[in-house]
Amino acid sequence: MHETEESFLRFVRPLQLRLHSVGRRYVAHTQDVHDLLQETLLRAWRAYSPSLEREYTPAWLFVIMRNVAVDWQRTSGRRIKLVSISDGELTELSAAEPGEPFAEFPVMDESRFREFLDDRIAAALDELNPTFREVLVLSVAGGLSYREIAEVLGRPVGTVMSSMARARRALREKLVSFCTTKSPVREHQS
Amino acid sequence: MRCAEIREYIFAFLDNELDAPLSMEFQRHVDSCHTCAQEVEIEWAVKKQLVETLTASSDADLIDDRELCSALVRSSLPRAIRTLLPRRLVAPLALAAVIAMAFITWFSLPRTGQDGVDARLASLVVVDFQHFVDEGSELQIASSDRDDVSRWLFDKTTVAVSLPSLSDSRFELLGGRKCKIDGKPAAFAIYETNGSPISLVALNAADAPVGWCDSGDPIGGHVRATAFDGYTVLTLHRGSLLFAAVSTLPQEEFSQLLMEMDIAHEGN
Repeated sequence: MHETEESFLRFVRPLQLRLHSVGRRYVAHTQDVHDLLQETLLRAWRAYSPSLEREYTPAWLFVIMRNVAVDWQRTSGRRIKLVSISDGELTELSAAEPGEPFAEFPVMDESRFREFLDDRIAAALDELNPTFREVLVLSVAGGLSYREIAEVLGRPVGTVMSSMARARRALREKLVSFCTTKSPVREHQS
Repeated sequence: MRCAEIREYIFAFLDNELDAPLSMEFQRHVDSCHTCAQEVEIEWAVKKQLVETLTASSDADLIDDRELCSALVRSSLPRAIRTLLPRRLVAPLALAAVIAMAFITWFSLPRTGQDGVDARLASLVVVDFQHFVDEGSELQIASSDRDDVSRWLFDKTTVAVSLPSLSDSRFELLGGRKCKIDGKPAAFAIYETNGSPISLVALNAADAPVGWCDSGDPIGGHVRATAFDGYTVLTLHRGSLLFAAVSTLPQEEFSQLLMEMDIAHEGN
């Protein structure tokens, strides 16, 4: 294997799982994840220079993946679950002010609560605004810091921090709303 | 720190995004406030479940090294060129040897002296190769007809190159474009085999600066080879022209194949 290819593989190999986890949330059909991942790596390869190996960061790959998804959204028939919105629109999205009390879960014991989360969190995530969802996915699945997410999204770090708080609050509100349509209250173990 | 501030910072705390002083202040409040401690516990459980849900990919979902390498090699050609190509199964070494052998048997003039590859010449032709392969510069004439491409190159560059005809049908001439080497007009042709590109640059020897022919390892006949930045550059000075062929093949393999191959071809 050529030295350049080895250098490139050394860089991308440990990041593939994270890229795949994020990529799954960008595409509407699971069969498109492999193509998204491959196109991302190919674009990265074309831009890769081994002499700059130390300067490449994980965020660089996620930027490329996002660009591929945006291109597909614009030009191809593939369904993409991605929306780019402005900072102004971001602040108007529904969520309480940072210091306000959180939406309250019904009282339930710990095991019941974990069971509830396991059962409903994917649905709650899917019902979130795409921008909130993307911020969460980049953080949790991509393992990116707020600064790296800011780089991927092209937003200030402060906006990412604010978006993250709003996203988590919105997720919680969604989960709580699922509770009100569900099972009886049980005692919470303190 | 008040409870309202805890609610403001809770997510950054759980994501390890708070600086140390703020983090300590946060922890101090949580240690003494049951309500806030419960909220941290709830949000921690939510985050833990998010991690489990979102990171459910397995190694089986990923692209293994072999598949990725194969895709990387294929992608090293610009899209415009890939559309001209059927898949090839032959090792790219054979094409490099064909070009080198074509140099040797193509010109029958005696040696004009020891020629070699100056590092600057190698760097210029490698950069030209990279611009074409990595950045996708378009060919100006896309054709596998060597006479057509040779005529076009002479017309555009005044370099009287007659491209070698390749007797092996596994390799294909893709086309050419005019370029400049050290500010002087040069003819650029590209060949391909099995997804691996090889460029051939020709310029008038009279345009080559003094000192361009003083390095490189002789590998047979009038051909010299230099390794540069991961590329192999073969050069040949014949008559009025200086040729340089570039590929990503390792020099040893390139040289070895050159010695082993015996390719019959038409002369000029």
